Amino acid sequence: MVRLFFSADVHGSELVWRKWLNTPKMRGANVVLFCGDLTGKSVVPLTKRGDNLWTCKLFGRKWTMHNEKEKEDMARRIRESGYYPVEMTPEEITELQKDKRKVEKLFEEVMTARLREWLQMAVDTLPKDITIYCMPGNDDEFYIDEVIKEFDKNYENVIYPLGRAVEIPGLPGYEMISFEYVNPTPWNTPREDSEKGLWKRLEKLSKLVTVDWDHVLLNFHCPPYNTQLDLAPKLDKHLKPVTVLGQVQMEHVGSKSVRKFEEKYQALMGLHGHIHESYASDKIGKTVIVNPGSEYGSGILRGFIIDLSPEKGLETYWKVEG
Amino acid sequence: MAEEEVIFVRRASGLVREVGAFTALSFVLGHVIGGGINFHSTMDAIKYPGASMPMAFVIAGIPSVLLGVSFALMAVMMPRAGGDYIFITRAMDPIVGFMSSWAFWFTEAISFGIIGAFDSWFFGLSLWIYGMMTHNQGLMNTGTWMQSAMGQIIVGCILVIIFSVLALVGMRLFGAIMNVIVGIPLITGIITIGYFAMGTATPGLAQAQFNAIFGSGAWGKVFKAATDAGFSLQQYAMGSNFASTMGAATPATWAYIGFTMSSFIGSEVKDPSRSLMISMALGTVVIMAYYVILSGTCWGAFGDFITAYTYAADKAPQALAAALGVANAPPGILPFFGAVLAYPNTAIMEIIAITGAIWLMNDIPSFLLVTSRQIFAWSFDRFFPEFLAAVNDRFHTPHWSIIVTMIVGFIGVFANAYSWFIALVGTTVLCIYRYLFDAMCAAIIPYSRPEIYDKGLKVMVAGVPLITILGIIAFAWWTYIFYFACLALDPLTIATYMVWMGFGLFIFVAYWAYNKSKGIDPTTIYKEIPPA
Repeated sequence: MVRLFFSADVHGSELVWRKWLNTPKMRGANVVLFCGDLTGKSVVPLTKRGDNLWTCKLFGRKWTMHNEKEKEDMARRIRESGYYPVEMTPEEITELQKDKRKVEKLFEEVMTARLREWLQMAVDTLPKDITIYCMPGNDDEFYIDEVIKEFDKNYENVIYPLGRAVEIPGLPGYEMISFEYVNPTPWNTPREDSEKGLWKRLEKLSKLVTVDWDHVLLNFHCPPYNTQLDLAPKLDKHLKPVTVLGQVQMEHVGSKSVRKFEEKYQALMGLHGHIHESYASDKIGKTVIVNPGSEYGSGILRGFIIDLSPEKGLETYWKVEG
Repeated sequence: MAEEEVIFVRRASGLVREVGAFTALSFVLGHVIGGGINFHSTMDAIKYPGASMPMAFVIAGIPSVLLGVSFALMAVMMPRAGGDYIFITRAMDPIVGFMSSWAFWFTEAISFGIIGAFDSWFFGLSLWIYGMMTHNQGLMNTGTWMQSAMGQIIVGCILVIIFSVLALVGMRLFGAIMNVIVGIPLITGIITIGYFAMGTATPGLAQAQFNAIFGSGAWGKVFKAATDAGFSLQQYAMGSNFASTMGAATPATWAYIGFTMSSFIGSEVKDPSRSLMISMALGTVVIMAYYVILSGTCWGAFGDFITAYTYAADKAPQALAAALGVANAPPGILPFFGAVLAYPNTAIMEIIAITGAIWLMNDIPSFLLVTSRQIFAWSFDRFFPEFLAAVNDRFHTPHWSIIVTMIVGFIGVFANAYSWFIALVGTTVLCIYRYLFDAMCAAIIPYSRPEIYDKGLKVMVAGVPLITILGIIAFAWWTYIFYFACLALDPLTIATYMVWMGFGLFIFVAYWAYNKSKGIDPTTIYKEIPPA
């Protein structure tokens, strides 16, 4: 029996990452998958205003730190919220405001540094017999792939699963294919494609599979359209959820190509993320699909425990959070 | 130095905040002050018999100030490239915002090249007037060439190319040059006001100066030439007809176009709260004061002679030329009257003569920015070809949008030189049409998008948001002017509007469907304020 712990959409939250590192111990998992949207969205400058005086903006208000400890506490709080704290002088901030390239460079530095730090933490903390699958999502820049590949190369138990069919340790005859692209969002994230483009990419990916499809796990960041996994709150013009009789109204935003792919190939299981609000499982034909959603902003880890055996395939699965 | 706390976010348009408050103000002044004040403030007196031209500038100015303040408040809430396209699409409705922006783009894009060519004509005219007054045939010949079709094409294209290249290589240099070419005419404009004020304070000075240039009794001969052609003080006395003054407010409105300019470069303005308020709210007040004082002192110095002169120039040009003792009489533009008062100081006369032309020239950079940033904003929202939203990494400028604008500019140059129909279409109504939606948007934004309103400067008056009050008053006022503007529409203009707006509607619907087909819900695009 192999126990997988599947989670996604950490979005830079260090608190969630640390919790994830505890899952093999806490949940008895021997394969852990952390998939999609690993990086955060903002750099929060800790502005050095003088000796033992720093200020910053977080959660819509200004904070003032009067000593190193307060500064470090704030930096930790920022990291745990999924942002990147960087100590800067006002002059450096002005310089960054003037030059977009420097801001991009800064993001590249902090995002790759944190991911490298996280993966190092994982290989140092987790026993060697725990296999770690780590892949980017649509929101991640392409350069972070290099960090994961670097660990894939240097550590046997770290696997960058994109662009290949990987075997699950302890589960001979089973394969997993992974895919990070999503259907277009209004926000032009780095890895988006049209439904037609997604379909072409998925069909190409399908060629890598060498086993029967009911022995395949689909680790696709994007959930299939019109399921319990792709429901996002319907928003009104104030960007607030639409409610009817106190119930939040939801709408489907997943990919039709992913759905078509799952309908066509009827794999063993679909592991998805991307839509944070849809913490759910569902089925497309015989294929069981799950999405752990995400509450990284609150520091909550969500995931699915999935038990697999070579004989039966999918034994059981259930949601966990903490 | 950064005083406020900031957060850097990953997604950005690529545009960089390099424009300070002073430069933003220069762009607004440059965009607004141009040919309008120099032509309409004097020559429109015969189109609107009995009108008070300074009052017309007040009537058009007050709603401009109201809307200028409203615009500044909205721009502070959403300091992004694209101006009111962003405001209206986000706070009212996407299609209303796009169509309003599309209408305004027409007025700006067409005007961009036309101004380039027209500036050649205006420079030529100024040189010719100065040459005539100082008996310099060489200047008159140069001026005549600059007014020819070929002169307009060559000079117009050179201006379009120069400013487009400058716009491509970055806002810092572009802004510095703008400060210079706005600063010069601002100073010389104040000198002109000084001469007009002197003429106002010294009865008979204008007449004496005019006679000194064109010969004894020339002033009276002009009145006689006009009277012989049908002019009467009973009909044309300044300020004797309020309806005419209202009519004259329509072209005066055109003279205010552009007070919203800095909102279009909202992503490129440093310290947006301060810069946008200074450039648009204070800027519009400064412009109104400049217009009213300039035209008021001009009329104070010359009085009804301006109307008589303009009337004679229009109805009896040969009789006017004979009265002046010249082959061709110059038109009654404001700089002409200013130069008369500066006689015999030829250097000042020359400066005053070309002040109007420099004001017109500095329209070009602002028109170019407004036009290109609208294209950028549509493209960034995926409602125009997306490659047009590309921003050059080195110069931080939307190069493809600027290049497209430059091409449209060339079309405008040729259109003006050869009087193509597109150059004859009045665009004031499209401009005011857009103002109506801007005013509506200002009025409703605290209620339609309270979370966006919360990001701006919240000023309440008796429990009602100031922006709502300003928006309602501006809407009522602009509706009134809109009515008068519509009365002046001709069939060619109406037909052109219908074709243009129909084309815009087609583009919007087509891109809506295209985005849908790609799996993008366009309503989500318009819920978000785009990144800076």
